[in-house]
Amino acid sequence: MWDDPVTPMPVVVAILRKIFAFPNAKATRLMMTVHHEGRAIVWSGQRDRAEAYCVQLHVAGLQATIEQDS
Amino acid sequence: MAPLHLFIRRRDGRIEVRVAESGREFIVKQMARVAAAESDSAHEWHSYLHAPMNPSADADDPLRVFERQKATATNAELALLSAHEEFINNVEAWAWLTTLQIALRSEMMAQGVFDSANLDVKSESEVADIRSLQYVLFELARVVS
Repeated sequence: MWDDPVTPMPVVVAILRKIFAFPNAKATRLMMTVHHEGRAIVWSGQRDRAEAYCVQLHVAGLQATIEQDS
Repeated sequence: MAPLHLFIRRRDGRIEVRVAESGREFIVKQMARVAAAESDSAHEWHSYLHAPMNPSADADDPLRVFERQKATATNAELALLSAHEEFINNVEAWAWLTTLQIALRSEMMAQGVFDSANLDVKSESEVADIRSLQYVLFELARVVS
């Protein structure tokens, strides 16, 4: 998931909690990583599921991409 | 004195919308823009709605793009249908949040705001819609579960 300069932090946390069912602490930690480092790996696993999560993040208005683990 | 919030979660689970008429008009306008952008390929925001998902591929998966189009359109339509309600449920609140978040990102792209420094040099009138959307989204995120 990628950072952007306009999305309020609580919105990112709410979306991560809703889509991935992350606890608040994990969603907040990932949001802070995105904020400070510009991106964060929010989920890794099978390609099909990664694509499905990526679609959900796009539908929620967040910028996300998938990439193959090297 | 208790802080004034735009959205209050009631004990029965419903979310009360405490937005003044001018605020409702602004919200409806933004939801309508997202809904219109979905169905109109010539709309200013249309190209902002479907960013590539896999940059290592030459083209994104058309089926995934279609899936996103369908889901985004559904959210925007549900948000618009409930935009004038005094109380909304969790599903409607999620539709509001995602639709307004897409409006925020589209406005950001349309204004050419790609980083914080870029946002800081804009005049307040140029980013008025961005600020308003941020405020509504900030409030909405408090009650979305």
